[in-house]
Amino acid sequence: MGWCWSGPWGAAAPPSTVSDDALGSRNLRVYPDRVDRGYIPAMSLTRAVRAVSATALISSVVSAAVMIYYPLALTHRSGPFRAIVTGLALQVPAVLGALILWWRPRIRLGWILLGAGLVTSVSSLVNTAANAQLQLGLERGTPPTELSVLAGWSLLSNGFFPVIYAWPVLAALSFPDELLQRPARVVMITIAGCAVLIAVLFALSPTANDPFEQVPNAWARPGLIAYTPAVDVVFAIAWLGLLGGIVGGTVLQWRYAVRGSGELRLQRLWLAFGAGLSAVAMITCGLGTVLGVIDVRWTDLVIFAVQMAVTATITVAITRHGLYGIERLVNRTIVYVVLTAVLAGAYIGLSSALGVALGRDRPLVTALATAGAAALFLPVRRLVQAQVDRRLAPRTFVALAMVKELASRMHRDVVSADTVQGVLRLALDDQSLAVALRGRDHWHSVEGDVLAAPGDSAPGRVVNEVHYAGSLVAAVERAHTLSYRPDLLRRVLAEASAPLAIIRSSQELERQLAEVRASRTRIVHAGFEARRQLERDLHDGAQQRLVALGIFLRRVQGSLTDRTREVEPQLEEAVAQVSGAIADLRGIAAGVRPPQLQDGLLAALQDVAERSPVKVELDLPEDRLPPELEDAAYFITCEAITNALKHGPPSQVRVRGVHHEGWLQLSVSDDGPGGARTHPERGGVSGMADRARAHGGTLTVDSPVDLGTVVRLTLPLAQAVAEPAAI
Amino acid sequence: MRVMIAEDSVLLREGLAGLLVDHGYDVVGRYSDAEELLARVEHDQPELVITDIRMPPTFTDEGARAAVQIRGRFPSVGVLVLSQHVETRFAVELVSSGSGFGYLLKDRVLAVQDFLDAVERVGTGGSALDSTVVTRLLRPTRAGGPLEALTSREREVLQLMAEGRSNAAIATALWLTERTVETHVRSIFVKLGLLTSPTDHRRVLAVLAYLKPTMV
Repeated sequence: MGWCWSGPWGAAAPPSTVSDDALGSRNLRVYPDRVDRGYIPAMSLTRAVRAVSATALISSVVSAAVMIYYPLALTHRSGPFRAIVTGLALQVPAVLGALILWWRPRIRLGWILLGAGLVTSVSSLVNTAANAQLQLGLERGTPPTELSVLAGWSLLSNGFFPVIYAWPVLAALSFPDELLQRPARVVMITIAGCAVLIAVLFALSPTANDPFEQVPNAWARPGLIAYTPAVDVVFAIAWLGLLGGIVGGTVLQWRYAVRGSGELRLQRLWLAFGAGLSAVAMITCGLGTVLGVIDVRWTDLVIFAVQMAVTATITVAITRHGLYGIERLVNRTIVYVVLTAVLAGAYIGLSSALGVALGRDRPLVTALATAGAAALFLPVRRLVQAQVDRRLAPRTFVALAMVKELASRMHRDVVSADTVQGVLRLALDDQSLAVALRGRDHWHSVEGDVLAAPGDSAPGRVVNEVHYAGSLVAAVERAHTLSYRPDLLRRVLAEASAPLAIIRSSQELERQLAEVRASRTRIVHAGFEARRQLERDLHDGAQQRLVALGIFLRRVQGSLTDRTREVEPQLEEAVAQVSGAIADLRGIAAGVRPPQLQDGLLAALQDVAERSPVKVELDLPEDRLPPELEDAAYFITCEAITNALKHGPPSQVRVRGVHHEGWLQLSVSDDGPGGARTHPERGGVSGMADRARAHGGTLTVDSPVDLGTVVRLTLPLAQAVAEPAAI
Repeated sequence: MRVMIAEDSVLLREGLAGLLVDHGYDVVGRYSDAEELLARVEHDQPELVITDIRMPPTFTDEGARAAVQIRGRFPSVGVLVLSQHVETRFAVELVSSGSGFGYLLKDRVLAVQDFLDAVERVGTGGSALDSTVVTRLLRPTRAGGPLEALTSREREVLQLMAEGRSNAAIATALWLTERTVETHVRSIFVKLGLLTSPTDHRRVLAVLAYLKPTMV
């Protein structure tokens, strides 16, 4: 995979491989996520747990098969249809639990589902088998005492009945960490105690249940417990205690749910609902059995229906609200189940239709029906997948769709970093989400401001890293509550990793370009300052000293007497040399920065024009410009004129300049032979162009052969003008 | 003649002072910044002030501004401004703003006689303009015009006239008689379409006024 995601999962992410990763994940401080316990995958456990859950699954299926076959074969008193339904229904919690554990070995809910499911299905299996055997035995006329072991098994397995009611509440309370809290602990202990009590009382009952009351219980030594009505009272109390615990647990979970917010609240509500259903089932069962109001067969159905319903609520909590982040897994399972059903239906339909058309029992019919069903597989799968996604996990579906649309938009349009952040906020429904992009030295917000390392803000914020192509590109700071949707978070961030990487790169590039430009301006300015300083030093320093020296020599000359007059010629020569040195220095200073620039660009260019052997026509505004600009314009124009003279000579050179919309536009045109070539690598034109660009301007040379040359220069009048056309 | 000197470079200041003293001038003050100069001129007005353009604290135009102030407040004091390099525009503005101004390049001091002539002229209410400046003004411009109608001799005369020299000085410099010089001057004025002016300074003004537009 080109990406990975780490967050409250701790060390699950591999370290970044980029060598200049001075920041690293150490700088991202992740505030402790209280939901950790439910989410930490212990990789070392996975194999063992997977083995366990696989075994559980298999045994669940096997027991289902047995439960369905056995009674059918033995004509169970409730009829085959009910047997099948019962058998399947009882396996469902265990299957769901196994699925959950397959993917997230440490989740409590998974263990509870698996455990409860196995216990109920095994005990139901044993119960059904024992009862069937008892029935058979009694019908064959076996003496009841020989069936007492069976009765014992029947009773014992019956004793595990409370588990069917208790597990939804335990499941609800196990999420996410309420077991630590006192009221929850009290409820759990009550339920556990009552269940154990009931199981014991069942197991030690002297005779089997109705309708096998004549069979004695092999394990109840007579006299162990005197079955006085007191025992019945205890029994009733235990059941009431169980009911009380279940109802209390439901109410507790409800209160926790209502107090929360966001996804957590919804997840809890669904779980509470499941627990509530279980309480209802228990009350119904109680009413039915104790008061004899409802037929015992219907109570069975109610119980089993509720099992399915509770499992369904947990499934909804998982898929729609991302409980434990395994929605994709459950999603896929549902898709394949539906797919299987549809294909099976298609096969049956096709073979029936073909059978009618071509006659039954022909191999051709089977073959065609199979082919038809197989052909349907791919399109039906896609359809079913889309429908399941849309209905069961609408939020993930929508969120991913949003991010995918963003990514495709980036192909066509420019998308700002702000937009990406906005889309992430919408997709994850967290308006406080903040994206930080990793720059070379600092982290930056989407607007480009420098940030401290993300995660430094208030507690209750969690930071997730986003990697792309093996390096850390961004960090997303989000609300604590999103931890309850880890799958959604992971998939959205994965989808958004490419757009974020692109945004980050272009932001980084612009920053570096701006830095380079700023640095170039600084260099140019430094050069200008240096030249100015040099010119000043030459003028004010060296020349003054020479003038003073010259004066001194003149005075010496003046003080010559007749006797020493013979040195006068030498002194004259000395003064002449001094004058020559002054002139030289003046020339050097003028080369560095001509003093005429003091009077403006036009004045300086006039000087050049006067000294040129070819007529130079000047047409420039008199307005003064910033000195650096006049400097640059002067030197570039001089060079252009020199080039014209060098490669000509032309008969005339024309210099035109105009101020236009914040730019100085100059052109130097001559009627020479033209054909000047612009090679960026060599000096000459490239020197002028560099100079122009360093000031934020442009230079073009138009030089068709025999048609003269035009050098066009533009310079921004304000030095801080924004650079033209960004990338 | 009593002279005050304002110049921040010690070497130059002492050199100038010494040169003037050698030739009989009375150097009554040597200052290194414009403020001190102004204060002392107010206190004890000399006949001539020689000042550098650039002086502390900003080294831009302290001397120039002081020069204008002195001329405004003390019309009897002549001001000779020394400059490191040619600032044509400024020079012309200065000299044509009234009499008693002079503008010279510092190296002109080495041509001792020219320097002393200029000192004398400005100290007595005339004007002096460095020949480099005038040369620049008289250079052929794109306009062309009446200046081209002058003969080379007339151009030489015009040059020296614009510098502020008297006819006698021009005659000496060009090895001509004074009468010839007068003739040339009249001819120049006619060709340029100027009115003849009595004093040397006024004709400098007239010439400069004529030449000013061609600076553009």
